[in-house]
Amino acid sequence: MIRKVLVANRGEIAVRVMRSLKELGVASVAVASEADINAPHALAADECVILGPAPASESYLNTKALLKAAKDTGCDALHPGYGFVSENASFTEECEKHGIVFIGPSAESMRVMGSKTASRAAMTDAGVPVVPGFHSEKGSDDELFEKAKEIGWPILLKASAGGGGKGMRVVDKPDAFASSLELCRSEAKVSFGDDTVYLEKYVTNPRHVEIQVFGDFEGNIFALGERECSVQRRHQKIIEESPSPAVDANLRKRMSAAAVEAAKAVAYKNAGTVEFLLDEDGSFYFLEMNTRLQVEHPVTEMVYGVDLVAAQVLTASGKPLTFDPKTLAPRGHAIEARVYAEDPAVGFLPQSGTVALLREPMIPGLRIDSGVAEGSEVGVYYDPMLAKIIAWAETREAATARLRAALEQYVLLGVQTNVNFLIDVLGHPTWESGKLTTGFLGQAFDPWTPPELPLEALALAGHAPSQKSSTHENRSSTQLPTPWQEWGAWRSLTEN
Amino acid sequence: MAKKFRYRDQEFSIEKDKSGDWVNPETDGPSVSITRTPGGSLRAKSDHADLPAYAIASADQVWVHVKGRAYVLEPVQKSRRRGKAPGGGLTAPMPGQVMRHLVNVGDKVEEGEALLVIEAMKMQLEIKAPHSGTLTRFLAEPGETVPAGTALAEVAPE
Repeated sequence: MIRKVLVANRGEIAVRVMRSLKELGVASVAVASEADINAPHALAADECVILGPAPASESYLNTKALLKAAKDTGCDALHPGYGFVSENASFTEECEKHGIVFIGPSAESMRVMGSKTASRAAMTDAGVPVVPGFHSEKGSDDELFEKAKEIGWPILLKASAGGGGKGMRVVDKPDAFASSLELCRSEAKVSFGDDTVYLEKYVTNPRHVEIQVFGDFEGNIFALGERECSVQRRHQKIIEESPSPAVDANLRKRMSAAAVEAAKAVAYKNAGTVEFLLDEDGSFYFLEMNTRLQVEHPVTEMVYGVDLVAAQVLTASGKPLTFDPKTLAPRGHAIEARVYAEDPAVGFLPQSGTVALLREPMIPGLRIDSGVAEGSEVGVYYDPMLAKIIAWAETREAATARLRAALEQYVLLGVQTNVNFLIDVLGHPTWESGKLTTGFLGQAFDPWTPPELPLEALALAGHAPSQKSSTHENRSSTQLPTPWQEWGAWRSLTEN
Repeated sequence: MAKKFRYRDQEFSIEKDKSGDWVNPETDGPSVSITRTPGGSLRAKSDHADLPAYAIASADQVWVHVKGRAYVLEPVQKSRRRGKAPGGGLTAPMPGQVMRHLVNVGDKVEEGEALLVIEAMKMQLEIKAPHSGTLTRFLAEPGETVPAGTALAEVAPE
């Protein structure tokens, strides 16, 4: 059995991994950048190693410093969390070379699934449905047009070298094809220095549904149901649930089988997620496989009653799981809401500051995975997700009510968050109907209007002691305040 | 005396009446009393309800949480308009790191022209000229980390 694990991450996921390690009786080592010395994750482990300065490239992405920290502290394994080094195939090989078990899949699985073209080819060979399309390095304009007619309209033109929505163009009808292709090629040339363009069927009103898969130490691969992740703003998931309102037992069976085939095609080991686009007509297409633990894994844990991190550690230790996948069945409904430091009223701009006051609700069926505590400084260097709030109940309706109640009782002051926005999303008729698509938030909240100011809020502000003018506005632009300078400026009304 | 706060670009007034309750001085509306429990928690009490409440204040902002929502207010006498730095310059809409300048000092710039790029938490944002004119100086160099509201550049109108 693994004895000591370096948790190569920060924030809520690092804290969450350490919780499972503690339960398993495995020692944990945290890593922190100089900006995170007092962060909850740095304090949650048995030991903590400072990696380097705040920028991720010098700390959480610094593979040399991570390896050194693991060796210096006598770790025999490393858990990458998500993001940062979690999908870095060469790093997993480095770890193995130094006798440190990387808790995740093999470098080979990671490489295949990390490449758009290689994974598409592997999935096609394995019989997993992919979005109908035409990928060729040297497709001529005429050839592309012929293929587009075969696939049918609308068609999506994509720059091969593109990503994140850049260099994409939808063509509705044949006569617009030539001009769109020309524009797409020139955009691709300018943005990526490569004018290779490929074609894909454009799925109108798609849902984003993913399947949790797991490969145990003996190579058995099984699925743990789906997660509905269609509630996104700018390709960023903010609310996820399991089960999906669009997936019935039959569809779940078919999607699970496809996901297991996808994982088998790369001899997948440990926890992974196969993402699909789900069309209105019930057909689904492989998008990509995330070769790591997913942010939204808790909804699966809540409906299946399992601990995926514990399962990861056992598998990496060459041990059997504590549950039999054949007897597992989902129960009830779980929904996760992600709390971000951002201002939804002004284009979701990231926010920073000090968490001056934090009260987390305690409700049966509620789980909070948090990376911040009172006094935490929310800086500009890392992802602005602060916490995940996950509610479980017997039905979707009850889970929604529980999550809304929890968000209304989640008090975080000192940093702007999206909590008021999340409450409105969960109260929207489209959410209630369950008819979610990836376009939902853009259509329903453009723009979003913050709540009206009630008299009670104004009275509370009036009650606040008046402050002497601070140096806040005159602060030098070259330095951010340290948490403790900033903290000193706060006046809690409860201490009057 | 009435206190004034700004919320979402609107000003609101509140004052204490004779009994020490808070009322809107401009209307003959309801009143709210703010009290503290022996345990130190705040309560907001009106005719209809007695609610848990939270509040915390820094020099230029008051944060409150009541009725399930969080609000940020700015005391009016102290808050200077955000986004207007001295000299008609332009400011950082979010905290972040200045990545690069896109024009040179002395350049003529058009309204809406991108002047520099600021990055925070995986997100890049172009800072654009608020009006046409000449870029007289940059107030933050590439690599610098700046808080929200920091003046970044100055454009002298034509």
